[in-house]
Amino acid sequence: MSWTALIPPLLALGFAPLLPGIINRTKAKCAGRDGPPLRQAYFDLWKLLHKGAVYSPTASWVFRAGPVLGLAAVITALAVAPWGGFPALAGFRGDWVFLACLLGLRRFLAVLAALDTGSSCAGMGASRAIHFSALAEPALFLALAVVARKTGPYSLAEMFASLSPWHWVQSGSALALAAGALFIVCLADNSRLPVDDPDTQREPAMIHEAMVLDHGGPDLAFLFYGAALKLWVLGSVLVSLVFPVHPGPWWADALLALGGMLALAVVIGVVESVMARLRMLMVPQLLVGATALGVLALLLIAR
Amino acid sequence: MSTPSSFQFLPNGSSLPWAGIPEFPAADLVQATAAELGRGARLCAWFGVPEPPGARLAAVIAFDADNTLAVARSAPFSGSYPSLTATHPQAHLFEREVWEQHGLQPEGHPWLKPVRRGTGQAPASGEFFRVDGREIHEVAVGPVHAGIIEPGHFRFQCNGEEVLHLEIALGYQHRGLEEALAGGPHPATLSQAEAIAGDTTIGHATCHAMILEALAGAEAPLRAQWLRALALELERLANHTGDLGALAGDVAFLPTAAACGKIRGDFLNLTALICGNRFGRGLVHPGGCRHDLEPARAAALLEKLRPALRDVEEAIAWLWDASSVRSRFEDTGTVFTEQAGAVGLVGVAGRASGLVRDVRFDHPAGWHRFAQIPVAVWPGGDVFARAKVRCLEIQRSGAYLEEQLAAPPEEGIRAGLEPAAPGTLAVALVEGWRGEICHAALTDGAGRFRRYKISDPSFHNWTGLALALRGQAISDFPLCNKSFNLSYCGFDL
Amino acid sequence: MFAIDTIFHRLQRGCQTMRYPDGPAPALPDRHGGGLRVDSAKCLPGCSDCVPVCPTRAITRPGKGRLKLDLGNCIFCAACVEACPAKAITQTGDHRLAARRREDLQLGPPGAEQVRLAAALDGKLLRLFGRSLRLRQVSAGGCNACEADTNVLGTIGWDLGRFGIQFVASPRHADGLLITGPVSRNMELALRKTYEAVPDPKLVIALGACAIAGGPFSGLPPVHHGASGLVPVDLFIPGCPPHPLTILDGLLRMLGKLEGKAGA
Repeated sequence: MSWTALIPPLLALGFAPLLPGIINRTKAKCAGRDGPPLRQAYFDLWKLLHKGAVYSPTASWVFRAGPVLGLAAVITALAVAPWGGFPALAGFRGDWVFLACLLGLRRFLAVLAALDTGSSCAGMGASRAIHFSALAEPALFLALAVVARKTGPYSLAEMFASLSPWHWVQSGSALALAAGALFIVCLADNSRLPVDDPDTQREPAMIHEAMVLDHGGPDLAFLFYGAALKLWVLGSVLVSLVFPVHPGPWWADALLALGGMLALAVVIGVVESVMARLRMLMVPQLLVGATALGVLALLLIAR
Repeated sequence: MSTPSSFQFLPNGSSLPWAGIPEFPAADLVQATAAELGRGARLCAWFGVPEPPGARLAAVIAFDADNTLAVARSAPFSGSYPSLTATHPQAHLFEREVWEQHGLQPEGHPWLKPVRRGTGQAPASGEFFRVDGREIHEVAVGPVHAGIIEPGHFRFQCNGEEVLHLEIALGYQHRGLEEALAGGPHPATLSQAEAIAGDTTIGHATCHAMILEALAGAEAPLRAQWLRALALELERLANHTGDLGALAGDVAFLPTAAACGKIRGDFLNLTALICGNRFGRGLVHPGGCRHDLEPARAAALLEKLRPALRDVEEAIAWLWDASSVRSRFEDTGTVFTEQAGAVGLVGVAGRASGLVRDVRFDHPAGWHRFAQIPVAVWPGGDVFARAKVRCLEIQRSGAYLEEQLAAPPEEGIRAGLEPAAPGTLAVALVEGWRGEICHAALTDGAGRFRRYKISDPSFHNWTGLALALRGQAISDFPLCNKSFNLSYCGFDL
Repeated sequence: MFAIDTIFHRLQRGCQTMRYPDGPAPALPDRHGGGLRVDSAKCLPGCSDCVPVCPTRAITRPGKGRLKLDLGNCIFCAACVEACPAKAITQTGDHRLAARRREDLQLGPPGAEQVRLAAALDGKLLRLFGRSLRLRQVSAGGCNACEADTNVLGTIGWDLGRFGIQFVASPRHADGLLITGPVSRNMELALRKTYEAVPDPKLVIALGACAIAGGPFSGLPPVHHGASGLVPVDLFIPGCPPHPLTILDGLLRMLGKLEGKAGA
């Protein structure tokens, strides 16, 4: 395993909080205001780590363990996530299932913690989160299957490293459809518009935020950081698909990939600025639509 | 009137001697009121006046089509009386309030609960309507809920995501205003009247001023009436703009949300241009207005008003252009016309369900006797209709302001008032931006307030929200709530 | 097509956030009057014309004693300014009104003609909250005007978010409370529970005359006299309602962000 495999996880750990910062700043600029500084997420995380937490007397160890174990799961996912054509830290054949399962594990732990509080709002948020992610997972698998069909059944990092612009010329339509499905999954799984409004202040309309309402202090820091890392992981899969350019020296690849991640954050910010939020009962239709895109892509590429 | 009524008529903003008001035994009052409501009248206020052995009931009703109000009262009694709600649901909260304040029990009331205080410590204690079933769950939200918003308790009975029933328990903002106003006017009375619902300062202050003027048998100078009408429309503009921005925010449509938030501030600054306070505190005074709008200031106001109106038109156009917004608003939170009529909705919520009722049109007082604004009605009863009515009212209020600023009356801005007449009842209605505000005041032998009844439009309209949620997804609750945008403190007093 | 329209609109208008505090503060409305100044030495002997006209009984002049005005309970109606024959009470036109201690709002004694403005938080709290402050707003019997002007701070002109200050949904996420309203008895329990749910270290800000001392509702049985008797308050912002500029000035002053600025 070459030392360059350390670069993606380290960059992820350092730069992931920048993604929410860029998204918020983009939304602010689109709205016509200054917006919080780009490094706001770092300031927030630092402050949260230095604060205490208040625990409800009805919560058990499950509530306290959820955030930190979830963070561990998503950091483990960094070891197999594809990024900029770099080799993975611990890649193996079929590790795309492992990636999806780690992200699912984080969600499962968050849901357990939410149910542990016994609050009805958290319970509603949990049920919605599970419902939507169950519908989103097939889309994720189908999109990854499309790439695997194109490049070969290798590990994730190897698959995306061998992807090149030439593949886009050959099977552009299939890859574009797969990218579309992945983008929708990215928005849905990271609680972004049009599926969920991260800034909403109304409990009956919350999905993800309802689950975190009861956490405070360092737990909340782990949850925010874990969410940023999850956005990074799914985002790096998408960027590696859409922008498979890795010309040469490791620093050039890293810069290009980093630029791709930041561009993705800007795109998400713009999408959030111009679209309204979907009615919650329509979200399953959107996710089934993403799955349909994936199926179509697979059919196109299987010929 | 085609057929004579057993009630005593009085126009909006006038008074009559308490002793001259027709008096009935309690059960007969209920019957007479029910008869009038059955003929198309509308209940503005139903309240109690303490008098040994218990209290008298008083009913103020409105004949919108005949542009007049009417009053009747009962003999003093204690104990119970046949409920008016049993035949006319629009009385339900009024009767609960009378029971809580005076102990007069309405027999046959389908859901008798205190309105503001709650049976235990907190307003949310006590029995709530429950639905039982295997997949039914109960969700409670409040009093402290997310966002910068007043406290209230909402109890949902849900089947999965669908709401079967919503019950709203308020009372957290109860400050005891009606009791504080009794014995007045005190030095604090005017500022308390202004703070009944802080975003409706002009509405409530104008109503209060009209009451004192009616009790003194006088009218404010025409220029003051003109200025009050302008300030009322500015208040309407600011709040409707804020509401549209908030509705856009609730569906996460950022262009309109961001723009309207700023434009609302611009309209508030216009009110501050007149009197120094963004909400109009200190402008309206019994006998007139405390500040004047001189020609130079009026020109400055007009100059700032026009760009703000253009901006809000533009922001509204974006809102209606986005199909994602329309799909959220249409067919959400529908209150049908018959429901709205039965429950007695007023104001924007009523007009959005197709009811044509507007105090400026039906019971004009003050400057509205000389200059009218077309009534904005939109049938449909859903969130879209309520937003559309607000858009129409913004346009019409803007046009009204431009027209009236160009033609101010002469005369003074403030006159002294005689002391209030003793033993007199005065009633005043104002179309606040949410809807009909009703103040009714009864003086004692010394001309001080014996009983002061305040009816904020929210008192009529909270039931509309509870009806609107039936059969809706619970995730649409914030949107429906914002489309009504009712006052918690105006209800809680 | 609204997407294209909004892009043009944004390019035309650019960023609409005000420059303050890096630039001068926006002007208060000319009839606003700003804060009050009490020169009790100018009072005429035996005169107490201002005392009965105050709606909230914020002014006292015991016997031959000095005039005292409690700015915390003042609703800035200027009735006292109008009533005073000796110009002992005047308007300053100053928007800066926030104070850290309750006694700094008592005007009248020599040296206390105007409000003693809030100092920044001490070192540890300043390091913690200086760049990231999350507040939970609690409306406890208010009339909704203070809440409305707090909401205005989130709009694009004022943009509270650029200072790292944000309002959050849950008290467990918050660093402090922003209380409005005189605290009705029906809200007392909810306020206490919310306060206890905020993790340490925490701040409390009392916004408006009601939250400081009861405002127009002071003395009424169903309400307390503001929040100070129930929870420890770190910042008092007077007004009815305080102008958004006053609220912003108070928050920035507490976080030490106004030192050396043009708008300070």
